[in-house]
Amino acid sequence: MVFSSLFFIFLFLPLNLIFYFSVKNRKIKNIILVLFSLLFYAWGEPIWVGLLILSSFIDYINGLFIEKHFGKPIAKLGLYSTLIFNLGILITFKYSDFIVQNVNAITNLNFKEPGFLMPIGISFYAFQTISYTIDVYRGEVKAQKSFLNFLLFVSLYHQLVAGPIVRYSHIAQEINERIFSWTDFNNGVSRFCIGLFKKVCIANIAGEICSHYLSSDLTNITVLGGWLGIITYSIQIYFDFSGYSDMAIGMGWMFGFHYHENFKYPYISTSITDFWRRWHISLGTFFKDYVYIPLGGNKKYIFRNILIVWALTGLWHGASWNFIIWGMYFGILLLIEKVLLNTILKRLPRIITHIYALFFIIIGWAIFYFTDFNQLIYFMKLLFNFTNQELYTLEVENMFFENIYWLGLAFILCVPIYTWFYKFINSISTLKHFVPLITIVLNVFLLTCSVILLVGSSYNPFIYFRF
Amino acid sequence: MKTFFINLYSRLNTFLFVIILITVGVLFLVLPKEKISVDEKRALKQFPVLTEERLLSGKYFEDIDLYYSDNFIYRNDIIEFATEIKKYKGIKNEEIQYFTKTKAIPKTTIIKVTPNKTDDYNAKKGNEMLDDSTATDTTSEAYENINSVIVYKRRAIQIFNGSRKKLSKFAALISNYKTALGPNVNVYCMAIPVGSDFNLPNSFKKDREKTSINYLYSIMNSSIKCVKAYDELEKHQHEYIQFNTDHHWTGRGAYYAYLAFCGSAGIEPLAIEKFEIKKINNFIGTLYNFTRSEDLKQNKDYVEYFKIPNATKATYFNENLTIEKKTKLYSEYARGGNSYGVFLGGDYPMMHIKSDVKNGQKILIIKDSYGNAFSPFLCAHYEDVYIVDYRYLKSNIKNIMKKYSINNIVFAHNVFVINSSYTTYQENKFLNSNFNITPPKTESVKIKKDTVVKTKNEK
Repeated sequence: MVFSSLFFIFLFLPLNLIFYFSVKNRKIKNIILVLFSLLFYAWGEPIWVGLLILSSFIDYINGLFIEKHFGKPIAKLGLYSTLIFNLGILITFKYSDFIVQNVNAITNLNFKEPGFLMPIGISFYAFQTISYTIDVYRGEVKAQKSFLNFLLFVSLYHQLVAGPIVRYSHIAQEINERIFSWTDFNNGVSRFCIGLFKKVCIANIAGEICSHYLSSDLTNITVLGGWLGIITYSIQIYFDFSGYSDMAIGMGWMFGFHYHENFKYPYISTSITDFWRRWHISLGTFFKDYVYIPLGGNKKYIFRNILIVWALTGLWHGASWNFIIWGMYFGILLLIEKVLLNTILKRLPRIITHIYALFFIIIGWAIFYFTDFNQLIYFMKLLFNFTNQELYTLEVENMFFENIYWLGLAFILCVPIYTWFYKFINSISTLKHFVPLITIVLNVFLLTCSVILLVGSSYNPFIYFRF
Repeated sequence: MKTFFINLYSRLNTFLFVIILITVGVLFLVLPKEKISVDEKRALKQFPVLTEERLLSGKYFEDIDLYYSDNFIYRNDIIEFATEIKKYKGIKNEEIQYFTKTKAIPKTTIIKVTPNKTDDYNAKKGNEMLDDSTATDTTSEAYENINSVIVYKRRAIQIFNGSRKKLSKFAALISNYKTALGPNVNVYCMAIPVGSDFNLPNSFKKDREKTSINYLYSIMNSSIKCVKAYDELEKHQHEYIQFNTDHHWTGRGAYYAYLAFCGSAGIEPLAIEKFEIKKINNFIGTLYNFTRSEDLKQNKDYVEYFKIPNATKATYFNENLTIEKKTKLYSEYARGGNSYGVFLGGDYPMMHIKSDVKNGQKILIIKDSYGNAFSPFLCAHYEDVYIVDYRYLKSNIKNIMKKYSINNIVFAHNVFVINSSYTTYQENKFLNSNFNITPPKTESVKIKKDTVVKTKNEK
């Protein structure tokens, strides 16, 4: 199930809220959340929900084991078994085809690709449980004694399938004792509406425009068509992902959980270093805490460490070489910035550094988009006008003008306009009292727009079937 | 009391949100559901049946999601509203409007426009088609070349892009037919333009259909007779040969293609005065549903059909030719959105038309729905006309040709169909697969004219 489906918004979520708030007992509340979470997961993965429970169970046992033998060498056993199990399922389900393809290509052998279908969200929950076990091993958190509570941490549907990668330490306390607050719930509602709007009204529309150019025959698109395609893809990927995180965080607040922010307006970055502090923060900190620093961090082999971390970051996004290249691309850019550019960038005007960062981010998304290497190369040539394509056609011009207000809105929503807006009305004493009212009107507007477009997108006329 | 109101005020956001969610949820359960969407010409998703297989594959839940969104409260009005909202995304070019296909269309049952839908054979066929469309990915193939439709001068025009690779495959396919059927069978190929060359604004590259068709004909085996329908239509491009609101051509367009065909076949065509020309008014076609453009709605079409002067007897077959039933060459009761169905009454796997021309000449037409408007003309010149729809037949064409000793075959396809690998896949199958044909049992079934399904599009 996804958050941006009518079924979720008008059936699953209200039912969950009704059941959840109709009981007083914390334990029953947790059971309800777990049941709804498992149903949520089973909706997309009826079989692999078993894997989720098994994985949680193993990590739960390992957590207890490590804590029992805390400080002794035998505790390592628990740690290793978690790592082996989680990385094992990740490799089996996500990377086995990719590994076999590469082995075949290198050795000229012909192994059969296992062809597993990847269970949804596996990359997220495997990382969550790894981080939990390592934290227990390091003594940073106490192991969870109750399996129900642990399962709640892993399976909580807000963040189960698309992040953020929630650390156990962030919500450990809230699993046992959450405090309901109207402010939180109010804010959660607003955050959810914003997230839904970002997903449905920005990301989905960007996706339509993007796929019109990028997933058609590339030899048919023009130079500016290519740019429009890749820019709308950049819009799509940000609003899709951050919208989802917003909805997760918002729902967390409704139920009394406080997840950490996953995005901080990445497109206002002024350097690539800055960008990665603002983009998918929970993944960046995961790699920093569990790979980069254990490898030696800034202290020794910094170049090696950065390249390893970025190759892995790339690989995490998908089992294909282009993701690895994409990761390395950023790794190298970060190194260049560290060694050379940072001092120069600091002296340049903001607008220049901003353009610099955006340019490399957008080119990065092209690497991310094309899993086929030949297509990528052709596309790069197209962007920089090294093909014989026309610069633009009337069609591109039309597409641009037909979406110009929407593009403007998307650009505005890339900056912290919401925060500025509330600062502004709070600073005017006459408007101050109307803040809740403004919020309500805004939320109803965002929700209505999103629902209308969601219903509208179910409009699928059958035309061409009858040719 | 005051704190109560302050509390209420600060909590209104929460209350409103929860109330909206619950109200809509309850309304969904309470309000009646529709079975079909007339605008979209498709059946709306029904609540799925629970089977173990579907449950485990996740299909069951997926279907519930689809059921929910297909049956959402006030769905039609909301869709209209969504179209309205999307207008504010930017500045519309008043003269030319673009509409792009952006989503893969989910595989669901299609609704036949055939008027005699109450007939139980059709109901059965509907089910078979459902299986068909879920088994193979037919839908995505058939329109993969179509990216956009533009509305220009209150007319919908599809933008066409050809592919040389696919054209070569199609040319090879026709050659295979020629080889398989032998030198005594005349093989005709008629590539039909969909009118984008003629109607696109000048700022567009306007010769894509022409280039495509010329290329196809240039690589075609010389033993194939290529029908120059394009040239004939080009001469008459300012006449009413293409609908404003529908993706088909008109009866008049088909008439000009018929003239071109006669040229290739060495037949003297009937002059236009020989036909009884009839009209069905108020036709709003598929491209209106696709674009929902107000301009199109204001520019309704009419379906003009040229009745040949010959007496004919028509029958249709099911996909493996085991059942044969009577029908008519023109289904004159077709109305509204289904008006194009006047030609042959829709798309049957195969039809047989016996006309009163006593010359022993026989022809088989392999067609898509463009062929529907064209096929009736040939009944004025051939004693037996067999019409095969490339999407629905499951039978070997070589056997059919032999069995009925047919010595002419014509491929009448529009440029989109020719440029689709699904077409070549399907038509190769007709040639190479061993479907067995058993003699059909003729059943006489009364088709009740008054049971034309009113699919509510005449509301």
